[in-house]
Amino acid sequence: MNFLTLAAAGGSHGMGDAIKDWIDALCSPNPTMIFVITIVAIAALVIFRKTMTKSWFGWGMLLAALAAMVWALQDPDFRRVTTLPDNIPIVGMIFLTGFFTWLAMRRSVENDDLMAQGKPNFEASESKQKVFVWPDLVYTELICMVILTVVLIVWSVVLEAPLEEPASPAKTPNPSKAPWYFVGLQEDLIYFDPWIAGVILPGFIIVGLMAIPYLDRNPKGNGYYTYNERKLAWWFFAIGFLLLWMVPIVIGTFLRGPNQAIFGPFEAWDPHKLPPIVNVDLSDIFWINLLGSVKPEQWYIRELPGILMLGAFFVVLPVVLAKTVLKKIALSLGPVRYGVLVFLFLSMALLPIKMVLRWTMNLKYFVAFPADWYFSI
Amino acid sequence: MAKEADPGDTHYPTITLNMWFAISSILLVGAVFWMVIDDWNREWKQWQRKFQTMEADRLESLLKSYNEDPKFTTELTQINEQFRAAQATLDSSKGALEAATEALRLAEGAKYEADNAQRVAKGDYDWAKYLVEEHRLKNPGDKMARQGEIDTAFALAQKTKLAFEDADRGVEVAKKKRNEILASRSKAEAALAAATMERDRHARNLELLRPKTLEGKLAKGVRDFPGLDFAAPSLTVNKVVLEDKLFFDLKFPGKKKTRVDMCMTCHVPIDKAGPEYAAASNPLKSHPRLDMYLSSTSPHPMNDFGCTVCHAGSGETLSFVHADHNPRDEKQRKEWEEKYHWHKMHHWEQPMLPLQHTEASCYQCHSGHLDLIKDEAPRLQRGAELVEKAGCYGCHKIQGVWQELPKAGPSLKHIAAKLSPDWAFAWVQKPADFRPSTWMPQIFHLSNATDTTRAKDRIVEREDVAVNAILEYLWSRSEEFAVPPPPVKGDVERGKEAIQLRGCLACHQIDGLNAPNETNEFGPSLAGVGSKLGEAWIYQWVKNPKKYWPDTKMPDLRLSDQDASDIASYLASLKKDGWSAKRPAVDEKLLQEIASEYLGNQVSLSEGERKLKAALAAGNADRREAMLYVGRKFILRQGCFGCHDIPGFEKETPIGTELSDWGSKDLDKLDFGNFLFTHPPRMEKRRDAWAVGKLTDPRVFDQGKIKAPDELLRMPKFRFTEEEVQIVTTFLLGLVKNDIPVQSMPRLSESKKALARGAALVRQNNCAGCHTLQHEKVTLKHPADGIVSVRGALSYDEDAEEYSVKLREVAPSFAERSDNGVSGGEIGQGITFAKDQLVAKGAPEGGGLLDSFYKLAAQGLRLENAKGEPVTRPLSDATAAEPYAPPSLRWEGRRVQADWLYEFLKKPYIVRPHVPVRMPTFEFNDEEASSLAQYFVRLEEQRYPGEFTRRFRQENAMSRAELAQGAKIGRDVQDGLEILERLESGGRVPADVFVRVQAFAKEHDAKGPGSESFAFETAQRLPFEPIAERSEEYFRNRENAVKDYHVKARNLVGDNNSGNCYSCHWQDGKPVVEDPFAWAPDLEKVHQRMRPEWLRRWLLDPSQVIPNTKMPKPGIGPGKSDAIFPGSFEDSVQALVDYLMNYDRVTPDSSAQ
Repeated sequence: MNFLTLAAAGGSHGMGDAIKDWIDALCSPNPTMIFVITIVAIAALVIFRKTMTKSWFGWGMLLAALAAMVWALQDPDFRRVTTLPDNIPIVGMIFLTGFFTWLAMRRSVENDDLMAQGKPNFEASESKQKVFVWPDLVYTELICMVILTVVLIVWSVVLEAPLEEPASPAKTPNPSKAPWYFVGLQEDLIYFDPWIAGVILPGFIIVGLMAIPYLDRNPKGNGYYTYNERKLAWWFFAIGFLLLWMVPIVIGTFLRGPNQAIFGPFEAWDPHKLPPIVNVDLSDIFWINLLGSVKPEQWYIRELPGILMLGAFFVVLPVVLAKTVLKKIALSLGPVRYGVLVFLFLSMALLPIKMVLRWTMNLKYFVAFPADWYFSI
Repeated sequence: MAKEADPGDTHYPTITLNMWFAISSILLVGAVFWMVIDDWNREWKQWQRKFQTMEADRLESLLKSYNEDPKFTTELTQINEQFRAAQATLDSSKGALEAATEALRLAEGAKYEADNAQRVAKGDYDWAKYLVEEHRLKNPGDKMARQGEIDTAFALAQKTKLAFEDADRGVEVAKKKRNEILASRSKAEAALAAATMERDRHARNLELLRPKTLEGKLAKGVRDFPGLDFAAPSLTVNKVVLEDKLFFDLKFPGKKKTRVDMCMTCHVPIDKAGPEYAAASNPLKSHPRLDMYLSSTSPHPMNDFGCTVCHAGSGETLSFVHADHNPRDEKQRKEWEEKYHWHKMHHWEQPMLPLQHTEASCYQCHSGHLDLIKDEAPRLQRGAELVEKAGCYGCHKIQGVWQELPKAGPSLKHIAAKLSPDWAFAWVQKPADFRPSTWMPQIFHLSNATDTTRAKDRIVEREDVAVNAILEYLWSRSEEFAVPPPPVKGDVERGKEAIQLRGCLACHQIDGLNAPNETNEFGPSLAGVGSKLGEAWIYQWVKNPKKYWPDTKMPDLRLSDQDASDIASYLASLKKDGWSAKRPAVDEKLLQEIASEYLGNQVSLSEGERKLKAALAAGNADRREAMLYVGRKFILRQGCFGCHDIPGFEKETPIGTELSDWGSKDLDKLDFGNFLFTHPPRMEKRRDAWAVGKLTDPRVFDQGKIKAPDELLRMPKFRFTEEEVQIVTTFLLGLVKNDIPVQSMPRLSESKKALARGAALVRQNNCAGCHTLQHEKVTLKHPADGIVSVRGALSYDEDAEEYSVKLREVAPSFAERSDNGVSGGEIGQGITFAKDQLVAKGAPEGGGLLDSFYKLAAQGLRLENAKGEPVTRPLSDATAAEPYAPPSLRWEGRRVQADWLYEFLKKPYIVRPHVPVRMPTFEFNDEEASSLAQYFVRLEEQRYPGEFTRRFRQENAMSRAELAQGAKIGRDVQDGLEILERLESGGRVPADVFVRVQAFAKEHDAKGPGSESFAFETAQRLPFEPIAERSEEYFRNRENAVKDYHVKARNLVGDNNSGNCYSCHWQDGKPVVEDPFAWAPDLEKVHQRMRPEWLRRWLLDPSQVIPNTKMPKPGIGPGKSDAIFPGSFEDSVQALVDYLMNYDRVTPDSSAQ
């Protein structure tokens, strides 16, 4: 046509392109594989922790990640999304999170080894020593403060604050995204009713974090790194924070494109990509698919299977757990603490459960209350 | 520190911490400096610095020119001399000055004392008042207590005040005395200041920009120093705040933001006049059209309009990329990417219009009168014209004048009477096959139909069925229209001649008779029309086009039966070579398939449709029923009724997207198909890119898309050239949604409104097809004036050394300078010049018919005499044939009375019996006729200031520079010259210029109007004023002044000795002489038609008004018609005028009265 058309997207489909296509296919159209890979990675870190926390392995991982990054940045679509001034901190966050998780595990392994030999752990032996407030504390803090200021100044000079189009009530940006620290929560909105994803779950997070000192009376692991002594807590953290908080931020930032569709990192954000959303409620599955009948008129009958299921999940399951797997914990905590802990745990678990059900069965709601209630589960 | 703590006791060695602290502190200092420098070092500052250099250079050379100007230096020396002399006188009377100075000092001292005293007394008085008031409030018994205190204080205040006034007077007296002594020196000082004011101002400005003194340099350095430049920098952000004038739509209902444009921060001299800025390169270049934009005297001053309302882009940004500049082509794009790291601002919704599209913005305010801004926005106007011609508005609603336009294509109400289905099938399939120049777009078999990936859907075959079905529908609904055979037999050869003589070729093109030009493509080309239409239908059509199609633009030429029949025979004989059209049989199976498909998709079915559906399902559907149903569906799908009247579709709404605010349309709402992401070549996400793609191939965005047949894009393909696609894009980009407040919209005067409406009517009725509207422009190098333009007929012989132009309009440059080897300047005169002096030759505006008419005339022009017998005579060239061609309308408003023109346009009659081309009957309504009549008058009114000025200078042998100085026009002589040049060539000038010229002319020419020609030019009467010469009073006055004045004048007309007017002119509706080539207009109707001042000018010397006229200079005046009308030539001409203007009053018997 003329200069308004850009140069033809060039070249043959080489090895690099094949890898890119494979990665794209892995990530989209839904992020199941990302979650699976994360879980596998966390599990691997636990299982092979002796090897994986070696320095050479850490360096190797870092170099490999950097090399992959350099290679991927050659791709214009990858570059576009990762070098947005808005997104650069998240790139940094991935590296930082990875590093600190690795570091914590490395210290845990060291401590666990020491403790297995009957020696005091590193932190315990160190905490016996005393240091001066000046210069060891205040001076180092001052230096950190100065360096952080330098970093912030350089950052603000080098990266311009991003501006988007003038706001318009008739046209919201596509995709519309929350600020980066809420992108993970926004991810929950895909799976849950806004009331739950936007109000109740965040409320539980805050309340749950505040409740930890009262729920967790186990003195082990206080002030030192350990895996062996606090396996359950470690997994709680890995699932709750790494998998359900950090990974959704990464997905929401880099992979959610127009129409909230998931795009592979090497894919252009084409607004025509409209994955079909044909979600069904639990009542549909129960009445139509299982019973082969139609849905009852009254909502309380219609939603009975869901209500019963949730009831079983939140009421029966804790009791069963208390008698079986968590018997020891239930006894040591007492019924109230145990009840709160299990309730919080199950609420958290509801999130991955719903995600998996969405990916596998297109489940929309367990319980769909009448539309004018503006609330469903 | 290191001493206080034992290094062994600290966790980190203090020396290490110190080192880290040192390093981080140095980094912090560095970062802070970087931040300050980065904040200071803005992109725009480099341009302002460059501008300062440029401006300083300019001022320096200006100052230098002062010093080199002998006039200025002499003046300065004189003043200095005066000053020295005055100083010498003062020095000689030193004592007196000293005494006066001392006296003044003492007087001022006294005044100071007196002032202090009066202030103290005033204060005491106020204090006394307060104390006494308080006292009286507390002691209400004695109402007049302590009155004495008040009186004393008041008296003192009064006394001191008087003393102060005396002292003040004393100072004045002393000052005056001293000033008297100093008077001569003060005068010299004042003269010096006045003479050097301008120079000193420049010098002061220069000192600011390029300081020479140390403190100046220091100050400039400090003002712009990083970190200190917040106070009063010399490099600053310049901006225009358009408070209450223009707004930026925030897209929140009812929310607007004042528009602020900061473009002039880089484009510093954008509104500054001067050759240095005009010659500079962007951004330090001034606007190329300061007469139209930005300057305070232009119609779009910068402070009222800013920049972005026209250019778009982001006005509140200060960098090249952020302002969203847009390159005009690939080359510029590359250049920008290299130079400015340019990229598109994806989030800015109003990207700056690429240079070629800037005109689009004019549409926001000038949409109603595009014809009026044709010279300023030619692309936009042409774009609108193309949109009108292509009939885009038929399918796409566009707010404004567009909704009043008739449908673009012919009515199909009586199609069965006009066409055969065989022909129509071939036509609808691909109109350009039959007529390459047609405006009917191609609807079927376009890129998305022939796309091989759709072979399975058999789109091409479906479309064949569709065309067949559409025709079936049209023929079934065609209404009765009688086409009887012509009453007389036609003759092909005569028809061929008649079609050339009557003016058909003004709007139609026929191979072999006329070459295509701008005007003869107005109507369809008639090549091969015999393969399309039958003789009888053509006869009916040319006899009365509006009978078949009431909205047609084709006017009625009032042809005789014979002429019409001849023309019909001739046109019917024009067969298209190798044309044979056959409507193929319908693929029955596919037809049923399509019908079932549509019926299946339709939500609600009528009774008939239900039956059809059932029949189709049962396999026994009536073929015709199915055809009609499918035909109707396809007419609906393609929206044929947008351009054509089709029975049964009267109430359907157009099928296209509304375009009223397409230029502001959200980019995400434009369907780029696969072209943004996957489909190579990737297309840029820009409105213009989309429009160019869409107009070039309307179905392009279907490429690679999987769609059901009915979902395919359906916009037809028009015959736009690449350039036209760009022009239509310009128009589309102009359709923006911008709330321009009423006070910022143009307020058209009545005169402008009439011009706008008239120009549109002239265009829409193709007046230019026959009439010349503006004569051709010849541009040549003038030995003295440089490049000049004249209007007239250029004639040249390739072998000759010289060219000549026969002037059709006055050329003052030549008239003024008959001494420099080139002569001439008046209308009708020729000017000759050397071959290499020719710069350019422009085409005349209008007169599209003339070329072919002159060609025919050279072979032999056939006229009919009074008995209807043909007389044929060859007219060798344009000069000889011009009197027989349609007249030029260049002077129409000055020549004829507006009332007559109105009547004539409504009901034309033959004015010039010797002209075979017919003025057709357009059936104008009152509004149209009156607008057109006004238009020509207003056109003259608009030209008047320029012509007056030119004439005035010419009569008084005055150069433009002299006039500019005399009438104080322009900032300086150069500016004045430019303004006058624009004024004289009809360009736009500030409103007060002509007022100044007129005032100056009145003063200069106090003794009265000059020569005849000048009187004519100055006699600009109001357009609709009654003609004074037609009044009873005027008639009687004339009669009283000269006995039998009008009868004598009448005899002058019919006098055989001095040249009988009736030897050519018709008399009372009849020719007097036999030879039709000699004929001239009937004198009976002159008083209705002509304006007397024109008539006088015309009779004085016809060839000086219209160079090639047949009319000779009247042979009257001294020595010729003394016997009938004694008097000078001018008086005799006046008598002719008076008689002709009162022709109806002067009966043969009036001598007896």
